Amino acid sequence: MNFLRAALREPLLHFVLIGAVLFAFTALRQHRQDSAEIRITAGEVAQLAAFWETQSQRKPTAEELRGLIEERIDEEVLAREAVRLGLDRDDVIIRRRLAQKMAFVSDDLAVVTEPADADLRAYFEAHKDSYATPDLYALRHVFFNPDHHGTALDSDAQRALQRLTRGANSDEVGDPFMLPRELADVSRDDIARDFGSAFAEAVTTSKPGAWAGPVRSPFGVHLVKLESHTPSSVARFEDVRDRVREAYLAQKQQEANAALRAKLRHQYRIVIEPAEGSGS
Amino acid sequence: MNSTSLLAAAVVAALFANGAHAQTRTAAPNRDRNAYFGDLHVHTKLSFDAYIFNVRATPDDAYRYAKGEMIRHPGGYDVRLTDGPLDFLAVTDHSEYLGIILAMNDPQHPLSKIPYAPDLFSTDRQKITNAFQRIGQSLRAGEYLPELKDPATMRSAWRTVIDSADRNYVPGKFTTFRGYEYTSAPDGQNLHRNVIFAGTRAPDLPFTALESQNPEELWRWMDQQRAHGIEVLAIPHNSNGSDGRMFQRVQFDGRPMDRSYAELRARNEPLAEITQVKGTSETHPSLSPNDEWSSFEIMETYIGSDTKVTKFAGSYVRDALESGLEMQQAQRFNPYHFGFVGASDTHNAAGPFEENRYFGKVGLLDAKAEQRGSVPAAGRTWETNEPTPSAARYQTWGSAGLTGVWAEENTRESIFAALRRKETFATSGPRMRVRFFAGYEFPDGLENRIDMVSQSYAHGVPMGSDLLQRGNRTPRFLVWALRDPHAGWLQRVQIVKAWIQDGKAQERVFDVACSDELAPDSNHRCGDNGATVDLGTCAVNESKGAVELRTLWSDPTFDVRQRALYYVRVLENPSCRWSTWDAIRAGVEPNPKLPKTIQERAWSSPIWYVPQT
Repeated sequence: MNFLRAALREPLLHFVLIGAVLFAFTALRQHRQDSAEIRITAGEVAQLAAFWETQSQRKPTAEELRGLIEERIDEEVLAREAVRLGLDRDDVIIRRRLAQKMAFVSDDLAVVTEPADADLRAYFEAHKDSYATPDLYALRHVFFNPDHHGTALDSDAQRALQRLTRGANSDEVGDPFMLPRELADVSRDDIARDFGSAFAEAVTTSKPGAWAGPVRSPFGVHLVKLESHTPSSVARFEDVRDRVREAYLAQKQQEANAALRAKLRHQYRIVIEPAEGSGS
Repeated sequence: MNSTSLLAAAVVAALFANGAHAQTRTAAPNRDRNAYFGDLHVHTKLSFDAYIFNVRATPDDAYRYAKGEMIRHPGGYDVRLTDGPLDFLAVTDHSEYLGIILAMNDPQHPLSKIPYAPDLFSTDRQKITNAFQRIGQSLRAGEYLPELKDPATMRSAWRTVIDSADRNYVPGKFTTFRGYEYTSAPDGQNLHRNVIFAGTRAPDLPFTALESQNPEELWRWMDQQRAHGIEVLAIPHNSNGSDGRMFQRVQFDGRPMDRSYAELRARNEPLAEITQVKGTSETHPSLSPNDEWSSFEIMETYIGSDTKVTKFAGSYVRDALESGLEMQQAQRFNPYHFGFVGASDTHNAAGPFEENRYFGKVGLLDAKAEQRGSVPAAGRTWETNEPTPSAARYQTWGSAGLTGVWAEENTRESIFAALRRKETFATSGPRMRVRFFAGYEFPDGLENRIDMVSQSYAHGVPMGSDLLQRGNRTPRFLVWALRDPHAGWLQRVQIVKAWIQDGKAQERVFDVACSDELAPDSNHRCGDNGATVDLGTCAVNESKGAVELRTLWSDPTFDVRQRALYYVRVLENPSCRWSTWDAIRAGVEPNPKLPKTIQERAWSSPIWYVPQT
């Protein structure tokens, strides 16, 4: 189908072409049945040989190849007879195969053209969120374990807050804590994952540069200092052009496929019978 | 089986390319090391069995899920990690027939012309089973089905796996590894391994169990890779289904082990998977009768079979570590000098780590509660319910485990180095953290110092290490556990000790730190902390249990001449098992044959005490 991919650019043409393919296919089948000819093309023979080689890891001998061709002819004869007797109807496997085959054909036909720069820029503008860096924070915190402070927890934390506000080294305040006491380049979601969402909310909304708290987390009580906040920023188009192109093409392919299916459906009157006993 | 429109699949596939790429971060490496959580055992539609289970998720989907995005379960519902993204992941599809079954369902692919191909995707269960059994039989026998040996297709599928791993790697933020599963199961005895590559180099094709079922051949192949500069390690899993073969005392062919075997094995397998959905392989009640917590998510039947497991020695990691000590003592080599990881082994590209949101691991087969035995079949009660053989198996499976690593930063180099040096721990799903050090020079009060970790690295060794004898000195152990902020509270921290006495391995479990102001008694057990679970709602008593437990411990039975190893086990308060959550959601009683609650847990890698004889 690559030649089609290269040759065809217009969606309208695709529909015309699918029609043509289907017509030709039907006509050819009719013709074959009329003349009762079975023609094994050179291309098919090459394919049989190639498949055999894949399985056996060597080329078939002339005799083996003849055998493959004989099998192929038998298969064709039986298949035609089966179709003639109507054995292909009401067979879910055959129906599914045909539908899958058609889906592949249509996927190849619904080729999306290489987008212009302006299209990509428009897509980028419409999907800026996907190319944004979230708000990033840097913070320090010190921890107080409720199990070790009991009823003095809040007063201990308050006293520590005063010490920190007066400039005490935060490395010497509070209880040991297993997670880092300094975090850099973390998003609110990152903080929420490791410290819970209430803590993330409190830290990210606290005043930068000053010790604050106590703030509660699923671990206990913390004093926090927001060191910096880098607001969300959107990447430059030039830096993410490849990603934009990938996403744009994916969307166009999806639209083309959907349009094709809708168009095909349009050619049918679809009736869904109510289930028995459903009363509607 | 559901039919899936390939057109829809193609459309969805096109959409995957649209996944948002996270930004690279450059937070400074932490010399004290951070805990990163991940899963090194994940299957996608490229695995022969997953595709048959109607899984259509790709490696990119697996990474999207790990990064916190929503993906579709084959059962037709969406799944998502509600407690936040993982830090690392490896997609490890079965290398045997990698991508082949998928190709058999592609009408344009020559493999779809194989006579039994349509049967695999039939609506007739018997046809599917018959066709699928050819593949199962081929794996048990270790022989290729010649018609399915298609290196070009496998190479292309392997390309998909490694390209996806590389594309989804965001240094500093999310680490991926190229990997695959080596699926050796001679006569159904499970010898599976996951093979994990360190970097961006990997061979053209994996070494599969259809090349050889003998893992020694895999290790030799890995040695060759290493000689070509491709660093790699293997992680055995589901030893619990190996019939004692995974950690047997002899080589694969029954010859006695020797030093070169032990070195070959230890060099290539520094880790073992201790827990996953198909059961926990720490130990078995019959192997550890004095361990009250040994009966945890035990897999009762062989994999893919209804036959009850009857052989346990050689199938559990504690037993293997003990065998290793005995061999080291008697023969001066140890093939079983490994640390622990936990995993999902999901075949849905999505691990069910959270007990209250369990969704199984084998696609359509256990997608619904009735199929996994947590809810009786429609119209039945527990009294009248007759579980299908598969439901009877799936109901004993546990929710997924996780691997924790202590690493300086979230990069391939840093995390792989942590795996290599066994500075790892496993959990039964929650992201609880555990640190474990041993040393002779720890300052008094270490466990209360803010700089405890840097002091511990400076004066001791971390989990996964050997601690050499130093004269007559007695080592001390720093143990520290922290709860998962989104899960339960900690009940106790234990140290499991194994040692050699008169040439034979012994074991003992010590409670070393208790919650709720309790202390271990003379028998080294914490008292009951009174934690409760309301089985009608799964609500727990929030006033019980600890946020963290830490202690500086000395072994009261320490003998300077005795070879020994120690690992930490952390236990949460009891909480509802996934099957109880399923039952509550369905408004029925929990299955009376299943435990209603479990104690989630974490296991550190061991520290080995090495006497100088």
